[in-house]
Amino acid sequence: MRTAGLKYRSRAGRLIAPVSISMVPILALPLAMACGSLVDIAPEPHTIDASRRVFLEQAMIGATSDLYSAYDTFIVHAGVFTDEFFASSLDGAALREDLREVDENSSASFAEREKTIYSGWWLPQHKASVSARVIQENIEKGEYEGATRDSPEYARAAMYEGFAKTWIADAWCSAAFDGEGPEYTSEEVYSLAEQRFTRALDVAGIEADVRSAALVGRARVRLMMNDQAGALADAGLVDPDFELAATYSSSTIEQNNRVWWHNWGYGNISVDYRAYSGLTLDDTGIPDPRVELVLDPIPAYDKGQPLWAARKVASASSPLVLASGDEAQFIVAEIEGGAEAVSIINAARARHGITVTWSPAGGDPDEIRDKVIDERRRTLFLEGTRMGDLRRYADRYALDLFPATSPQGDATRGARCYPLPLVERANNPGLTLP
Amino acid sequence: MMQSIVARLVGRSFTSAALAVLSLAPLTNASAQAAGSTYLLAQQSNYQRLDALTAGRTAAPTQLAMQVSLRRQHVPLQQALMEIASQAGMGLSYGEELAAARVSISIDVRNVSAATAFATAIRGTGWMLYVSPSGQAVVLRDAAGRSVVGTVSGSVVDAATGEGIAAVTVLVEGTGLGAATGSDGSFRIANVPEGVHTLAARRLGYAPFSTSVTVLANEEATVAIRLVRSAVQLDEVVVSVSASDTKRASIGTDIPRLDVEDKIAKAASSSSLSDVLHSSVPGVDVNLPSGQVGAASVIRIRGINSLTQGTTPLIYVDGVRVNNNTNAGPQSFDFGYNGSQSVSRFDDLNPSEIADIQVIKGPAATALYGSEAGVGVIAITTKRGANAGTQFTVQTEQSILQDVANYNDGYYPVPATTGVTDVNDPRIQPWRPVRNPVTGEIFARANPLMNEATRPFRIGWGQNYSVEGRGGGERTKFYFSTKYDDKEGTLPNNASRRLNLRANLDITPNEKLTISFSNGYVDSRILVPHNDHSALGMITNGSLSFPLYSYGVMPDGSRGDCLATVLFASSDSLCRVRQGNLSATFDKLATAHNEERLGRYIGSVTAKWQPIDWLSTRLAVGMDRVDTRTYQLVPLDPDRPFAQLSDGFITDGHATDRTYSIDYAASGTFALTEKLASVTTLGGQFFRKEYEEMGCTGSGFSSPTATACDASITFTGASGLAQSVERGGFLQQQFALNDAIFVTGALRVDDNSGFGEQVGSIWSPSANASVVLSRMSFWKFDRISNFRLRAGWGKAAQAPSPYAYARTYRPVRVESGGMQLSGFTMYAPGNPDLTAERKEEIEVGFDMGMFADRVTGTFTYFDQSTTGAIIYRRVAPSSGYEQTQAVNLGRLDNHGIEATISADVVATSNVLWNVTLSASTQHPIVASLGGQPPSNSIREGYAPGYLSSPVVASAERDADGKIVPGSVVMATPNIAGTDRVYIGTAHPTNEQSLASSATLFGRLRVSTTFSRAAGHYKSDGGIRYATPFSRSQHVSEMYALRQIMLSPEEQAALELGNAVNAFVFYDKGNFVRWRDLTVGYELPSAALAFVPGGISSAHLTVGGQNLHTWTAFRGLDPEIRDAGGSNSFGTSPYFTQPPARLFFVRLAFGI
Repeated sequence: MRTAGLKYRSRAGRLIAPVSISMVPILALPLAMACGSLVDIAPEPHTIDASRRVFLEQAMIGATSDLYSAYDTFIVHAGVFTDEFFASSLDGAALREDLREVDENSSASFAEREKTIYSGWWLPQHKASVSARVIQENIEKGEYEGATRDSPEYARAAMYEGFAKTWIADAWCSAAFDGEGPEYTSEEVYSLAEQRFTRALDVAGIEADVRSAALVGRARVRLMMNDQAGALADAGLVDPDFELAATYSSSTIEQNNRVWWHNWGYGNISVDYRAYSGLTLDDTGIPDPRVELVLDPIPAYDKGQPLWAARKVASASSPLVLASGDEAQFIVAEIEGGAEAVSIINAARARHGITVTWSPAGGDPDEIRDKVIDERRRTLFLEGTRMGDLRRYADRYALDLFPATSPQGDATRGARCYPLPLVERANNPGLTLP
Repeated sequence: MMQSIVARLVGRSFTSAALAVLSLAPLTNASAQAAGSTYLLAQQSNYQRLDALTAGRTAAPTQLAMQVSLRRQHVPLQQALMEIASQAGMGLSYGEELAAARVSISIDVRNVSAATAFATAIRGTGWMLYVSPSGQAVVLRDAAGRSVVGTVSGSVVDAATGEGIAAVTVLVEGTGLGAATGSDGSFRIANVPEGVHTLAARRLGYAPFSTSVTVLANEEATVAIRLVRSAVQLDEVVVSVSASDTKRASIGTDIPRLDVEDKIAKAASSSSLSDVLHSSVPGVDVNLPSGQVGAASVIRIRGINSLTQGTTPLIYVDGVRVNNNTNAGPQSFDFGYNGSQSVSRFDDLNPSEIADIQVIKGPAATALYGSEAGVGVIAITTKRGANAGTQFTVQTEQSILQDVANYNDGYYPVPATTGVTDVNDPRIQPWRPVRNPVTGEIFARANPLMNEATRPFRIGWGQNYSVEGRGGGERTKFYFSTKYDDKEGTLPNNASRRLNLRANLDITPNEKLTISFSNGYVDSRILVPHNDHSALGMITNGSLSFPLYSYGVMPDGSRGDCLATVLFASSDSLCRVRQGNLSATFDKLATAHNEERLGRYIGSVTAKWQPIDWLSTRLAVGMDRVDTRTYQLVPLDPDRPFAQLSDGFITDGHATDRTYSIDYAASGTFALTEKLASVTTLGGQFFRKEYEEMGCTGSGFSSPTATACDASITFTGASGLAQSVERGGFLQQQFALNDAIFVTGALRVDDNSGFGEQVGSIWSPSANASVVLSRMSFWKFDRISNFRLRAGWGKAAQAPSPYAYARTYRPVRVESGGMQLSGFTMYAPGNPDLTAERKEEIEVGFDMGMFADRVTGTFTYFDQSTTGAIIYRRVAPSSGYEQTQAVNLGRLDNHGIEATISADVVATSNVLWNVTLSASTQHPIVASLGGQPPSNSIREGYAPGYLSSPVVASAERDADGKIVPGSVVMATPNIAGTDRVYIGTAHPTNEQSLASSATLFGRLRVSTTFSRAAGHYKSDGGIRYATPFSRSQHVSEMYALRQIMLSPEEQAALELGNAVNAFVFYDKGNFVRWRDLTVGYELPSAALAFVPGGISSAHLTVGGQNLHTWTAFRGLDPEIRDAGGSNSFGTSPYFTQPPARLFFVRLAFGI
């Protein structure tokens, strides 16, 4: 006979085993959690360390995409605001832009759904500006291995930022940058743009096309700033045949040329036929191929106005000229006037296959200036210069070429620039609400 | 056989007799073995059986008369006997065999004799106590050598109706033996040890029952159990974080429990879990956004308690967290609008395989459920097996679904130039002409949705078939089910097919360990029609009808001529294309294909282990894997409206969503004193979610038979991966005094991968108390049979969505030289300080039962506040970021009440009529936006989703029905800083449901349910088209009819249009809906005697759902909305299909 049971185990001893075993999961839980495969999660698929060297190329592509997106958007909205386009549908936002009654609450100016059909345009301009600035800053900080202030990427990014800021100066009455204050006037923004173009031009390794584009850009802002000597100097350095274009693609909707999309595709903007339809060369009856329009037999989607489409941007992949020798030449023509201007006009025509030449009826400088203005708008049709040009003509020559009425006959409100969006003012800690 | 004895010296009476027992010699010869130790003991020591002593046949030692008290749960028999012996001053001896047998008992005796206490303890255990004249006791096997088992059988019926009750758990206490009743209420438990036992019966909705039963060897004892209904289930075990059983009485928060099996039997179609839950639990809103088959319901507990993070509660199935997405499936192609119906993962589950649903409502109760549980938890328990003979239930349900909505007519102003100047002109009679009494204009009407010749609706046929079985033995129990459910919607491209399989297994290797396996699999295919805000919607196209291009309806119902032909002698070509619709015939729209295919597995293993008496542990490990394919195809068809849809469109997405759960808890139960008990629980959870998707989108086909992305002209592909991890642990301490006063405190710590980098763990404290006054000694109110006060406080959390904290970039492409170059651009700014929303709540209430629980009621008041509510803050666009930034800036308050009162209005032997009224209120309000600007749906001081608009206060019409210029007076705005007038809340602030169930003669049951929602306003985005809102396009034809349909103010608001942005169709959203009417009949046994196949029961149920709606709302239906199951605050429908009417018949057999 044996004495069995738990005789030799104390009460505490009897508890240790089961309690210990039952606590194993609690002890195992933190250990399990410490195991990387359990608690580690994949980073958000769209998070990146943008400062790494391997991303410089991708960052440049991103900045290029941002610039192109900003550019076609700018052409659309500035075009509706000026005489290049008008709202052909009953689209409320476009109608308000057409009437130049856009206020600081306008959804057209800051729509968040950038990649949808209702693209705003305050944000795209700033995306282009910021992405280019970040690349420059990262290069300055040495974040990208092998990239320096003398690298071509630095020059290209600075040129991008210069153009983005130029468009902002052209379109907006005032601006702020990088989510911070202060509030800049258009003149101050032109100055910032000039600095960026100068920064690009100071880069030893600058590529030829970037240099020419930066010169065109700086010439444009200097013209806006009434630095005629500076503008003339820069423009004179640009090959008249030079052309740098933003490229688009029909592969994805996101890459579509928005000028085409709004004009041909969606049909909510039409070329303002009052300003551009039936233009001939010097009233000869010979159509001007630079502003050839097509009257779309299908009216706008909601039975608004007739739809005039620009042959110049006839597909989703049509490029848009960003900077050109043409513009440089017209800058020279505007400043120099006289015979030089006449010569430039005819040379520009020739480059576009136009054999008809023009000569002034007399020696009136205003006649030549007006011809320069007219030839410039035809040559640079839908190339993003009209908004700045109209503001300059009004300020400098007292020529108000903004449309006084919409095609429907409604009087426009007379604004010459977009007000700073309220969404920027309300969320930018450097600004104050009115 | 070696008979070894271990003796315990207890008290003072260790006598020579006991020593004699200790010295029992091994029984070595055959005769001695045959006689058994009992005989030997009696011969040698003059020990007497306890039952002989208590029967008075033999003089009992005086110690057996000593008064003792003992209350123990699940303790070894020897421990209980020792404690009794100790109190009585007796000695006790037992052998090793007793310890090895691991006999566990529960005992609760107060101030009884030691003899009674011994008898109670040893009853039914198969052991017997022998007591010597000196008071020494020894425990030996009872009646060794002969059979000692018998059988207990019987039936369980409703005490009021006599109706057999299915799924009642009948247990022989202290033996581990039991059975579940079959569909007729019968049960049978074999191998019950001889002796007197306590037989207990438990069933949700009935008061606990127990009775004594004497089991004789080889005989069958028959017991008739009559259960009394009771809604106050204080001893009911409810879901909790504790590893040991938690009774309702011990928790100070309201955790309602829905008996799904009973609900289906009484009132519901067994097809949709949302239907079953609808109007069943006060405070739980199950909104039906659409009448489409398979459309998701929005589920909210205690209303809106988050501004941005969704309000869908967490869902647990058998203890593991599962996918709770109510906004899944293909979305309608809708020109960028958000409106469309969705499908819900909640409805993947088969209601027939669910035993019950418990709802853990507010933060006071959910604080211990982790960092994502702040909005509430729905805990689903599937059916389990039972220790009984295998029982099968075979069931089929057939149903028809019918669209009963009254869609609006379309109007066409017949020009006088056609010569039609008389409304009775016979040429236009097929178009039900009507004259505008104000303007004199004549309108022809058409309604493609109501015209029998053109309407797209069909009678939707539904059918489901199921087989379930359950059974098992003492160690193993099983449950399985399979169900095939096939439903047609009333629209031709709406259908749902679902196959559910379930296999549950419980294994009890020994009395301390139970391992439960749960396995559920779903295979489904749902066709979701385009509707709502979709240009492809049949309701859309029919509602925006074009009468000029419609065929008339002749008096005999046949098709007449085309109106354009009648009036203008035009070709009927456009009538052929449109048949009165906006752009195309319904058959052109029906080719649009919108589908979700799903395979889903939910599995878990739960081990419950009680290694020692006071320690209970539970480990649950599980996963939920959802594989879906969402496929949306709009084939090339030039006749379809809108250019981009004519060209064709496709999206094809494959996604896998996995949720892993590990849940562990250990609870220690201690009797600190005789009256004070303590339960300490320590636990931890780990959850991991992974979502992977891959898909493509294409537009423009070159062939009508093209069905793939790469057959489209423009297509893009995308993939995505999202993961999240949540981990936490908690400590909970509960004290119980006299089983009447319970106080619980807990603290939980959580970490979640959704928190920003700068955020550490968060702490969630909670406390609650429950006082069962009716258990107190001073309680003398006999008419109030149960009364409990409860109160709870807690702070729970709701984590932000995964990666909301992260700064992200967006891929972009540039085409250069024919090459596609990829880069990235800034997207979302992120927020490293982002953390969970904190939800704090106080909840107080009571439960009561009156007149022997014939009238029962519950009441709860809650007051909750969400701080750090996540708001998506705009960032300055000049920063370059496209997206908003999630910040913890807001505060949302909410309070309300929930109450239920249930009464057996008539309770006779032949008739039981029960009426239950439930009511709840909610008053969510945005207390702060943290300085962020308001919007037209979220503003400080208003309910989330509030409605506002400029309002025309007065206007005048001239004789021609036109608004007099200058007569329009706008109402004074009452929302500061706006031109808007506050209209009201968009969501009901109070809801009620009335359920009535009458059982006649125990066989015939008639049940019906009404529900009501009120306190809110609602608009219908589509009704404007019945009373045209602008002069453009299709609505212009109906413009002049406003004068007879609208007030001058409404007409003025419409005509002012965008000038004042006034929207006029805000109506009170109040409604009363007659949800269902069900009649069930239990066939008598006599009738089944002639049925072959061993059918033990048969039940026939017929019913209808959505029978009538009373409302002043002018839209199609007061409950629907176009946002499907999404968590948006929008409540407006926009050509949304109203709920259809369902009739079903169900036949269930028990085998």
